[in-house]
Amino acid sequence: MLVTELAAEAREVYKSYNTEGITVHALDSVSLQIEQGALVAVMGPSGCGKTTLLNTLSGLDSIDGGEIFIAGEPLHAMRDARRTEYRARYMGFIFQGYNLMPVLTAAENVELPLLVSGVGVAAARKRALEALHEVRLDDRVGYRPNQLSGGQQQRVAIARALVNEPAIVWADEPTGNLDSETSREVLDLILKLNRENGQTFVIVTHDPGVGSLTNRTIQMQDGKIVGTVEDPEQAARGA
Amino acid sequence: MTLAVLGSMLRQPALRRLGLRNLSRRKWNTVLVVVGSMVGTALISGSLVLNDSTSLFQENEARQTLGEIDEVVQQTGQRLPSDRRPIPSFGEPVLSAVTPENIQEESRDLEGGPVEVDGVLPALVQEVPAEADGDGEELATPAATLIGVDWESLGEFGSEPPPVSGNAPPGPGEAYVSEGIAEVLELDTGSAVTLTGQTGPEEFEVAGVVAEDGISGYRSQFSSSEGPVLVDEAAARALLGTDEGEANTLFVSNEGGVTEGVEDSEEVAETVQSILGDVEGDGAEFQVNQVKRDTIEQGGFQIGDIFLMISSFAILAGILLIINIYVMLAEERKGELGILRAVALKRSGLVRLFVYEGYAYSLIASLVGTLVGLGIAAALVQGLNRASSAFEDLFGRDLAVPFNAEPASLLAATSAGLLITFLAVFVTSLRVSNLNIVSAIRDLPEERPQRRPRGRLAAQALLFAGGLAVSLWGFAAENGYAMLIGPVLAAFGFGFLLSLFVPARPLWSVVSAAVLAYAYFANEFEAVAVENEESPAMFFVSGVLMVLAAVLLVTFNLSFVYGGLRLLMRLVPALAPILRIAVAHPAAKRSRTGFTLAMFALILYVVTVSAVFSSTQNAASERTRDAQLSGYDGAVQSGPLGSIEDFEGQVEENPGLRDATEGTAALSAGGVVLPEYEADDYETAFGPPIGDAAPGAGISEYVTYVPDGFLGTTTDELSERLPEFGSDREAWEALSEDTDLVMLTFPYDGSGDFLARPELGAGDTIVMQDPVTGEEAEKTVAGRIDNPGGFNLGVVNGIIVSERAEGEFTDLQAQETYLLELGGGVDVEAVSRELEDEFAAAGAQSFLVEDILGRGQVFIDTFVNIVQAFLAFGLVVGVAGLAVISARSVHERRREIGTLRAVGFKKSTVGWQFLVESSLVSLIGIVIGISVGALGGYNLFNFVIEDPSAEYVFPWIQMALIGVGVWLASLLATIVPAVRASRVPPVEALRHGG
Repeated sequence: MLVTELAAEAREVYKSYNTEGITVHALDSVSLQIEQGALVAVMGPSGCGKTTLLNTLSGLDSIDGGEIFIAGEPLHAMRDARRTEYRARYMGFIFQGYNLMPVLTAAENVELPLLVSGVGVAAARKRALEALHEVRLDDRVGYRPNQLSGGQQQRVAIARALVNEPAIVWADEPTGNLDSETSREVLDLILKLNRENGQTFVIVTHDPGVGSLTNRTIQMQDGKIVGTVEDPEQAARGA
Repeated sequence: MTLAVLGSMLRQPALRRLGLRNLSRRKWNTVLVVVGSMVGTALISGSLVLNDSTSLFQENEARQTLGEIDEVVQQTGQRLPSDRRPIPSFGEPVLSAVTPENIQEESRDLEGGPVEVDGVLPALVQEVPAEADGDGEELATPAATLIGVDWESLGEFGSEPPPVSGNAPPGPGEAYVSEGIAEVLELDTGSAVTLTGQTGPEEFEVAGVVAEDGISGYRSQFSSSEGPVLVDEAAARALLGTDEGEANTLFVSNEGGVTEGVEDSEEVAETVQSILGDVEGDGAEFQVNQVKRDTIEQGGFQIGDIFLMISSFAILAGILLIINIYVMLAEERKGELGILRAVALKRSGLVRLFVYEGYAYSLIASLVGTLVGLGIAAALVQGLNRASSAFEDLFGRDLAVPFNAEPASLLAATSAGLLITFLAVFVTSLRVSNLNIVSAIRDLPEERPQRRPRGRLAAQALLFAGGLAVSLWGFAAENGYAMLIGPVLAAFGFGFLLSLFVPARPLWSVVSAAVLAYAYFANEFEAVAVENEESPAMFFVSGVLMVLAAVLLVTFNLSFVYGGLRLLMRLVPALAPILRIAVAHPAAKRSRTGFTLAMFALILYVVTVSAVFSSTQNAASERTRDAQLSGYDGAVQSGPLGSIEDFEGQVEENPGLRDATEGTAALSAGGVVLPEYEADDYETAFGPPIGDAAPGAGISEYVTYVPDGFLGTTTDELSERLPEFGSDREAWEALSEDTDLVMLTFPYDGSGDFLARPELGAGDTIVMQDPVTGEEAEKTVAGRIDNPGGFNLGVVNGIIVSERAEGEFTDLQAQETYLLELGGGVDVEAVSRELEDEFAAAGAQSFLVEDILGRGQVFIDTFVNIVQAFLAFGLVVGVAGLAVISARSVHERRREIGTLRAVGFKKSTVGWQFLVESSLVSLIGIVIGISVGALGGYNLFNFVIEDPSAEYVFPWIQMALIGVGVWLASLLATIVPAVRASRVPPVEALRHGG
């Protein structure tokens, strides 16, 4: 894990989309700082730019202007290959739709970030099994996604996001497809991992319940950050 | 079908708009689907137009070489194509019996009523040598067809008398020469040409050069004559020494034009044969050749049929491609379709939606395919003409096939293509329309019902029971198709039923392995082997069963196939992420992978079988080169004028021949009959014995008298010999001491190639009879020559006896053959030319083994190359199919690709993963096709061709090159989709994230 105070930083980031002649300013001069080990929620109404913020901060999407630093490294200045490599090594992703490879087993899904980072097949399998153990799916390692429940699939996705021990984990509506009980389980898992491993989580969510569990909530509207709510208790826990 | 679809479209304007909208909405998709779908139509159209072209060639041949002649009656019994002895003449009893009136009268009791004949023309016909003075050099041909007819009768022959009859009758010493002869001997009106007959040479003045049209183009079957020379009846009689009032040939014209008359040919031949049965005597034996029918039908063989059979594999591959494409299209639009179903549309509406779209694709594809097929046919005709040009000078005429496309064939190709494509679309539409609305909208995997629907269970039970019933009937009735297909259906039915209790992989592995083994070994059953030999359709059925069974076996065991890749992943970690995904997709999408594998395997199967055929023929010809002509290198055969007076002297005097020749041997062959066996009881490899032997006639055979020199040097190996001989050599040498011993050439197995032959072997006795004098000689069979395989040059024929027995038939009409042994390193072409120049004037024909085998091999190689080029077009199905599937996969897997990019896959890794995935599937398909093709080729040679001398040769290098070539082509075809995949941005992972 990188030793730096800031896990991610955005400076005056702009991002707009042009769809059929209509320009939408998805991010409009967004600046923020996320500390190492933080558990941050990004909230706001639909279309406010929160997913775009996650995409650009994580390097999934390019920006039109501004700067982004991840663990002090200028992500915005990296070429695609370098950015991809960086993502594989220092970031994890959790998606609302789980985004597991339907043709791979749970273990194979979890192995992917390791294999792509050059870890050997045997070592990758060992670490994948450990990650699956951590998310309590030891008995489902050989199952394909369609043989798992929604909660189990999301836990596989979490294991995949964490198996590389990334500095920062991006989660886009991680509980959006889950019922309340399973959502709770998944959130507990994220909280536990954040607390025990000190990994930074940035969660995009609609769910105020999720927001209440984080130590900082960033509010967005019309592509801008309109407010930040710190929860000292959570912050203390996270720190 | 078209009316039904169009009618439905008119009634459902909204669905029509919705369905057809996709054509313009996704233009590239439309192009890909049309290309994939049109290949089958193109191949059908190409094959049918090729049939049109060869049919026109045959019709032209019939028109040019026969005209109004439908049957030819001669008194010679069965003759080999190489038999150039004079045709015996006959007199008044036959001439007055075979008349149009008598034929009509005699045929009154036939089932279809009396047959009408509009001409019977007596003629004197014989191949004679012809010479002329060119510009300062002697020009000669060993074979011009002399035809002597009464000019007035010629003008009344048939409904469309031959054009030459419009010329003034040739006076004494005048002749009309055909264009072929005129070209070879450089003749023009007024030139002199010398013809040599039994009475000696006679000079004729050319009264005119006539086009080869009907009788002025007449040649007997397999003749190498340069063309006819028409003279007055009396002149021919004088040249050939025939008596007044005699002829040796009757040309019969059936009522109707050049091609229509052929319909009654069988009845006319039967009637004439029956009339002749009443007049013939003294052992005379007539044959009535249905020459027109043979020329037009070529023994029922149509080259386009072979291409159609070969195309069937590509067409089936095309059908699999269409199904694959439509299933993918449906999967891609699953959400859209689910919403349509949710909003208002019934299942039948979804079917209509797909059918309308599919019909439009099918229509465009079948029209484009028919046009492309015209191009294919033109290329095939050009290729065939190149192949046949190797034989043009041997047959002395133009063998070029004209390009001809009949509108009916084009319509048939378009309709067949439309029907096949549309049916594939329709069946697929039924399947894809059966979707779960919720799963479709939410993009969830289709849930399988826990219990099998009763209807499906009943259908599976019916398949099993039906398969059993077909098997039982097939074995009882010895029906090859039922014997092959019945057990396969039963096995699949049984498999479906067992799948209720047994896991899929072991179950289908066992079923597919069993089907593969059965389809391979089914040729052990004679009925299956016979069907395979006689019907190209059987070759298709057994090939398809083997290929599909192999594909099924591999598809269910891909994990084993990929085992080696796992090792590679361990050894080269950088490849691990690429291979992991590249392998996982095909393994998970079993039907899609299976269909894609089958596309490649089906076409590679037939490519491999044709390559095996060519290589085996090549090897046989190479191996048997020395065995042809009993170890000699060439032969000179005397013509109708009898022996060449001083063969050895002529060779000695010609420096070119003297230096090249190391030894000669003179053989003498005459026609005998085996009275103990009736020709009617036997079939030959080329259908009924040549010349439709008269009812009750004995088998015609040749007796060949050979000198000691031949017996001491022949390299002919024996397949069996009397036990007292310790070696083949001993057996051969025993013949020179004992004139009661004979050696049989091949085959004496109850069938024969050109002549019918009984089953005889060492130790049997055989009675030979002179058909003219009735003299008989009894011999003991000392042994039988082994079939050397390859091209049988057929000079040493029938029953071989020492020359010491020559004279046992006092008046045997013989043909002489001089065998030549050439020294090493001689210029084959130069010697061939020298031989022709030296002996043509005497009417002798010559050939060299090297030359003939070379031409034969050129023909086979060119033909196989054409077949493979034709199939290369079929490979477009596989390659284009893979490109289409890859392109659709990129679209279908954008979200997955986005996720891979998000978790760290570089652009290049994604691209490589797609390339590796596609190329692995194509590689496995190619390997299956080539492997099963190797088995199919082996099967063909073991069970169907049954040529004991044929040795199975697998063309490793050629197949490796083809395999690699196809693989590279498929790799190239998937580069574009792979690049597109690599360009999918990682943000796609979230865009489709719900």
